[in-house]
Amino acid sequence: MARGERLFVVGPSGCGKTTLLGLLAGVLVPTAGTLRVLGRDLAALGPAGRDAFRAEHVGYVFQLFNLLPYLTALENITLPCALHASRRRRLGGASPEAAARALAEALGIADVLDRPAPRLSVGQQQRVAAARALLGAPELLICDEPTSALDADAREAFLAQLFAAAGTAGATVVFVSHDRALAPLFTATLALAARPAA
Amino acid sequence: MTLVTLALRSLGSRRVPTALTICSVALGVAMLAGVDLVRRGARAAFDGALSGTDLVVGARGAPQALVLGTVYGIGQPQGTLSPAAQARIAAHPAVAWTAPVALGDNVRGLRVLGTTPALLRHWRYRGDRTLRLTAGDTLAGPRDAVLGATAAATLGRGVGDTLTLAHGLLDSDLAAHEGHPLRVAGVLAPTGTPLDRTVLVTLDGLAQAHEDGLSAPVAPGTASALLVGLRARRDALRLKAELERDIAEPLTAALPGLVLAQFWRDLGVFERTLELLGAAAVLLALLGMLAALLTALDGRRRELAVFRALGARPATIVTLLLLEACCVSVLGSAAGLGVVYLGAAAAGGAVERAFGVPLAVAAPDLRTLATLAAIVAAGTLAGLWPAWRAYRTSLADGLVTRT
Repeated sequence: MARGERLFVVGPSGCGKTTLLGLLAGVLVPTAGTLRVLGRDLAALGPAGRDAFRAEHVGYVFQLFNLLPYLTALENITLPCALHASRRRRLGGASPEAAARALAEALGIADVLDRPAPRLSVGQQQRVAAARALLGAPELLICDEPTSALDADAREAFLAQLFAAAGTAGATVVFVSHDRALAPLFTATLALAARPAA
Repeated sequence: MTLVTLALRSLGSRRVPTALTICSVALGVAMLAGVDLVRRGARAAFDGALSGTDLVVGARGAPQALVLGTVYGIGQPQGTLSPAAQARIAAHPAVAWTAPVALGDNVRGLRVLGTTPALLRHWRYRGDRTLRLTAGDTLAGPRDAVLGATAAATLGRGVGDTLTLAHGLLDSDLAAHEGHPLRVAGVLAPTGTPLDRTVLVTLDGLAQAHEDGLSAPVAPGTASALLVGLRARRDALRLKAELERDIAEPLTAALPGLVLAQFWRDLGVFERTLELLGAAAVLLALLGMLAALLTALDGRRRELAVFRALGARPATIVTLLLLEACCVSVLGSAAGLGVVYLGAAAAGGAVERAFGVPLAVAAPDLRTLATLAAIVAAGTLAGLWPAWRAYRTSLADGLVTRT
């Protein structure tokens, strides 16, 4: 994949979509073969190296339950900076709060930043999750069915904002979904087949 | 936002279980600190029953029996001290004052202490507190009696009422000295010392009571022991040695503070038992915290997955969990200590009046601080287990939370 591409990964349940994302994020390690992400062999990095790699280069958006309910939207967005110093360094001197506000502006959630996470709508929660994933402009943005809880109109609007923000950050997007209708919005599509019944 | 803030916010999101856990730690610490406070108070009350008296002199015998018998009425008085010996001691140039103590009678089970008004003047307790009369006057004549606060309440007698002594230390109507009724001259304020349960009479009064033909006559002026105050405290050991060399009468002289401290050390088992109980309470509280943290983990798998997805190292997750355990321990300890100190400040006066045990509200001493540090350290270490579990869970779950 080239930098800035947007890959759509589609396939039925159990076909290994989430496993692929886990591999890309460096949470899982391949049992055979090699995996190179951003030019680096993740298996060779070691567990601590993969954690640092993920913190520095990868933004991750879950399907659901992205946010910590006891933090405000703003605190959720800046959370990566609290957890790993390398993410903080990517901000290039800007305060995490300032960077978060800029992203929130782009994603249209600037006015709900002080609300506790549970008091946001699902769409707002996913935008907060996207802002958090994009904070510090990571090279790789991984999205695990972030739109499955949204209705069709909200889905399109969310994706438009997500792509715009990802474009600003210069991030490559890997997006998993089972909704083939979204495919035209991406630059490439990877269809995974269900594992044949053994 | 720091990891500490994050740990606190996470704890705050589980408000009820967290509060309960903090309460259980607080209760354990309160128990430990409370027991310690009462123990120290009891010791202060015990040691402080008689201060300002440099020597207790009696017939040759065990110093502990002499002091405990004289001050606390524990055990029988051993032998007697003749008026001649008393006079010799009182005339010694190093001696500032003396007061005789004659024991052996009772009023309805309360011990009777024959003495002179000097005892009421010179008896000090818990440092420099003096005896104070709440009503009436001090001992003047052989028919006068002064009642300790508890004695007055138990007997239901006040100034002007009459009393009859009974021979021996056991309550018995058969041995009553009915021929020599006494009049209550005064009542003492509560002291929290054994004097509260004592009936004070004069030596002469005691002797006259025994002139009834029923009981063995008591030579006037004979005492069980003599309390001695010195002009200079440093002379105590020298005078003790000198008195014990007295060839006219075999004597024992004891330094009451030393003897009481020794006796308290002999009761060490009792103190250690109390300390063990407190420690057991803290242990239970920490186990409760451990259970709460472990139980909470299952509901936090998503939270942990989010942390991992955002680049948290396993070490970061372990640190977070340890911080939580540390916060709970610190908050619990502070709350427990606060409860004990506030309680002592609020109820200390009432406790001292009721039980004679002073509860000293003082800044925690080094020992207490060390104990608290140990509790917090143990609590934090207890957090290692849930922390390790969280780490394993986060590794196994990866970014997918299977629930």
